[in-house]
Amino acid sequence: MAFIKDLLNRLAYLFKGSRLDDEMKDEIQHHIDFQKNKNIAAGMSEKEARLAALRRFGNVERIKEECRESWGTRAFENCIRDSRLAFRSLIQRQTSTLVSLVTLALGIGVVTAAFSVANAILLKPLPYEDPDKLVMVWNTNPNEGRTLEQQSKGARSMSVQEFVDWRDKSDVFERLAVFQSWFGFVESDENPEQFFGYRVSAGFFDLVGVQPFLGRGFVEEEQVRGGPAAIILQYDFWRKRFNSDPSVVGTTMQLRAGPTRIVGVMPPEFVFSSRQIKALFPFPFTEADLNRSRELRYLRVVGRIEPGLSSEQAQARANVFADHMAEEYPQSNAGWKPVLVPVAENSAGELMPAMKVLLGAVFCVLLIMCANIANLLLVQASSRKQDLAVRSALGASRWAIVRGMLAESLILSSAGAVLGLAVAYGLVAYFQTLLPDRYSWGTSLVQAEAVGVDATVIAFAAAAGIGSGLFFGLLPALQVTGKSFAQSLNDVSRGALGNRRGQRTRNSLVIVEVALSVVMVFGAGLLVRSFLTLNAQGSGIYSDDVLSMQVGMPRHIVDQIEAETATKTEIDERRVAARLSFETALASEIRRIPGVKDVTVASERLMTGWYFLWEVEAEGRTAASETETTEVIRSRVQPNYFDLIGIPLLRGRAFTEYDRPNTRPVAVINRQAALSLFGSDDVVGKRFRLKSRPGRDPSSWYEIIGVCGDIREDGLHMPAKPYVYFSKKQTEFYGSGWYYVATEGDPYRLTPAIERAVRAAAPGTIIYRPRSLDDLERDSTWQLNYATLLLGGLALLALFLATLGVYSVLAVSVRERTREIGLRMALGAQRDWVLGLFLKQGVSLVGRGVLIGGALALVFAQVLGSLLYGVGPFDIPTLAGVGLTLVAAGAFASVLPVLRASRVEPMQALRNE
Amino acid sequence: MQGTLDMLILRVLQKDSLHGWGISQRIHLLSEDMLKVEEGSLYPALYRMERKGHIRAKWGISELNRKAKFYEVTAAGKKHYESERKNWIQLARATALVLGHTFS
Repeated sequence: MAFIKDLLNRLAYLFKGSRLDDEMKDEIQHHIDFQKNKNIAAGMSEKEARLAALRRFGNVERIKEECRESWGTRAFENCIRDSRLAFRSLIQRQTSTLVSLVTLALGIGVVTAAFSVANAILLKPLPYEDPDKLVMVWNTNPNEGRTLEQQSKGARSMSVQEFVDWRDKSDVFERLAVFQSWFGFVESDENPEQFFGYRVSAGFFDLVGVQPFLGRGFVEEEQVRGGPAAIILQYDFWRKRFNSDPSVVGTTMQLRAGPTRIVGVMPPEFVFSSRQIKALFPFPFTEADLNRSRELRYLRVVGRIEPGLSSEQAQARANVFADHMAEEYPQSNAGWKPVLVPVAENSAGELMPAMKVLLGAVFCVLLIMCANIANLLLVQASSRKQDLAVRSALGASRWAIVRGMLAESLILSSAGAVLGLAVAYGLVAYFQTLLPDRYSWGTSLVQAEAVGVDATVIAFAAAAGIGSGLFFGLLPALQVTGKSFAQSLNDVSRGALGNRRGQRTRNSLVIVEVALSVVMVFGAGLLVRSFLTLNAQGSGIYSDDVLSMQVGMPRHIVDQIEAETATKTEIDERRVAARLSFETALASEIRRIPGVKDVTVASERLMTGWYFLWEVEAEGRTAASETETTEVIRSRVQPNYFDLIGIPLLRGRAFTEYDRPNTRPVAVINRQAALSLFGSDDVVGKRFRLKSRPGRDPSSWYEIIGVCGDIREDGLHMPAKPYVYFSKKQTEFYGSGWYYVATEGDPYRLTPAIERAVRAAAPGTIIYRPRSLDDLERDSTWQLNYATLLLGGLALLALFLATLGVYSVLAVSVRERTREIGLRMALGAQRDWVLGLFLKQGVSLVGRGVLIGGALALVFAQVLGSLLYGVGPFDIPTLAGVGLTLVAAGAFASVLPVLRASRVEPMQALRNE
Repeated sequence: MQGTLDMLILRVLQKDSLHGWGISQRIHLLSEDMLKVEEGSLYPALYRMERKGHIRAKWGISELNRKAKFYEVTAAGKKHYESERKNWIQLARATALVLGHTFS
């Protein structure tokens, strides 16, 4: 308190300024007059009395000065004077100020933007209560050949009965809940909408520790099958669809599933597993659910670990419980082990290594930027040395001079930080446009989508600005005002060999810069090579300009069928027929749009990594392959599918219009499926079927009529998946229709026209998630693309800065040694020798940097391991390429200074004082 | 010593509010002219103490019929004086002990 009051008083004095000074002079005069009067009264003459009073008072001027000190405003006054001087001097040196500002704005901007990504993914806490205690519970079984990665794709995790056991009998979790993706469909003529949501089981909101900020969570009767239908909206959905109107809570929404009551709205920061989630629904278990086989593992489970348990202890207890369960139900549970993955890790998992690299790169670029500006200021400082020496000779203390120079660099860096923040804003907005439109299955997208400029990011930019300002300001200031300072008055006028010590500092700075940029360019180079390899290899789809989208069948068709028909089989039959004719009609409607080349309909979406796996068995090989199962993706397609999508047919034929329900069941399978089922791709004529599932019979045998090319369904970086295709006409059942529209030119151009056609053909329905196949392919490797872009951008910046650094060091060196060059040339040195001298200096700087950087790069590149594809972290050709690039950049940077040096005219150079 | 001067000023201002010259006269009186300080050095001390909030100044009319600042002790100043005084007495005692002199 006392301290703050003191500070406030000081500030108050600062503003009172000259008035305070006058008062002080008055007061002193008053004192002296009093004494004089007293002296006169004691019998002195007027003059004597005054002199005696003054003597008694002491040195008036010095005391006045002490009084001013005692107001404690000196520090501020100095500060103001320093910054005024600094401004003046910065404005005077326009060019270098501008160069530094641009460097700083770019540097801090790019670095801050990159940091905001790392911040969102690594540092920002997840929006749950005590998020460290939240885990995803995956179920794995090594014998089933499932990896955790497949698990986390959401293929299967737990069956209903397993979940109930874990929830009620185990001692691992304080709470446990399941969630499952679910579609909502708003039926409305003017604004139909299909959206993605989660069904969540009872207790979910208590588990994550977040409650709706409007309305309430689900109540018990809503969590019972047949209870009132309820929905909780995500904030964004509420904002967009309902204009943030709080009165919608309690009203009813017309969904395809029936009227549904809006009971709550989640707070804006809440996001669970994916930002695509627009709403939450209750997840009631029915008797039938509870009686289903323990092997139907389709639930995704999230839990909160018992308080006081570490994650290792929780995992250990979970293992024990799983063993118990395996003893009790050996048939269904032998070999199954739970894996608890912290939600944070689960969500950042794939991007974790890239983010760590990114953070490292951020600091590298900051260092390079600082080194560069420090160099620039060093150069300036050495040319201002004389001026500073004069100031010093006139009585300025070393601290005063250092303070002055620091003021300059701090002003520079603060301005740079402000500009940089603006740059960062722009870049972050750009990053957002790069994110894929993709269901993320609880992977890093959630956080990547949270990238933004928040308080932490602003604080980072400020710290980067001030920190770098101190760093690049202090170095030259201390260097210039060092020991030899006093001599510099002589030095400069004598113009001997350049300042050796300054030269050495500048050289080491540049070597560090070059080394760091080698590390970064190498990392970026590896990523770019992976990126190129992946894209050259492709996904297996050979077509341009295809738009994919989903269109649901209008509800009224289904309603009508259900109203008119009695038995379930009859309903199913008529629904299938209705679906097929609806699809045919819609397809021909879309085909009529100018610019549309062709349309095909399939049951599955391509390249989203979102599919269901079916176990299949080959005829005649059943016994041999009992232990290993082949799991395939199944798609029902129309005859023109392979042509339109661009999947090459390797053997046999594709479907025709004559493959119908009453003809022989046929299938086309991809090479991967053929190899995995039969060990060869010469399989036309052979048969396979879908295996029986608990509660279901195996399918009929399908004869293979063709073998087609593979598709890397999980992403360009993943192995191809086995795929089987059935004729849509022959095997149609329920299911949503994915439409693929081949267009002339940009497919998105036709989206509005297609939307109109769909609305006309089927009022009340919409096209859902229109996206081109090219984009879907690109999205499948978005982690790599993102990392490549970020690191690539930072590496380019580093390269640019390092080149600038080499240039500035050489330029100064040439300037400082002009007289020396002149002298040597006058004594007979050739121009070639001069050229060689500086070229040698440039190359040796870069060379040393490259050697150090190369060694560092090999050490650090290992971190990238999991992001690389088709290239290892010790890739010497890339490293050599990077080294050459740096040397070339160094040579390029040397050109101008070297040319200047070689043009030195000896006579002029010697006279040049 | 700076601390000494501050103490004396606080002591002098315990009862009345005084202007600068008045304070210097009192100090001379109290210390029996033992402290031969420059009178001027009183002023930096006064300003410093005012800044710290130990004393405050009010405008008044001096005996010379001129506007002058009259200083008085604040509550914080009183507290500071008491604690400093204790310290001083202790120190003086200890010093006296070491020098082999008893203190009454």
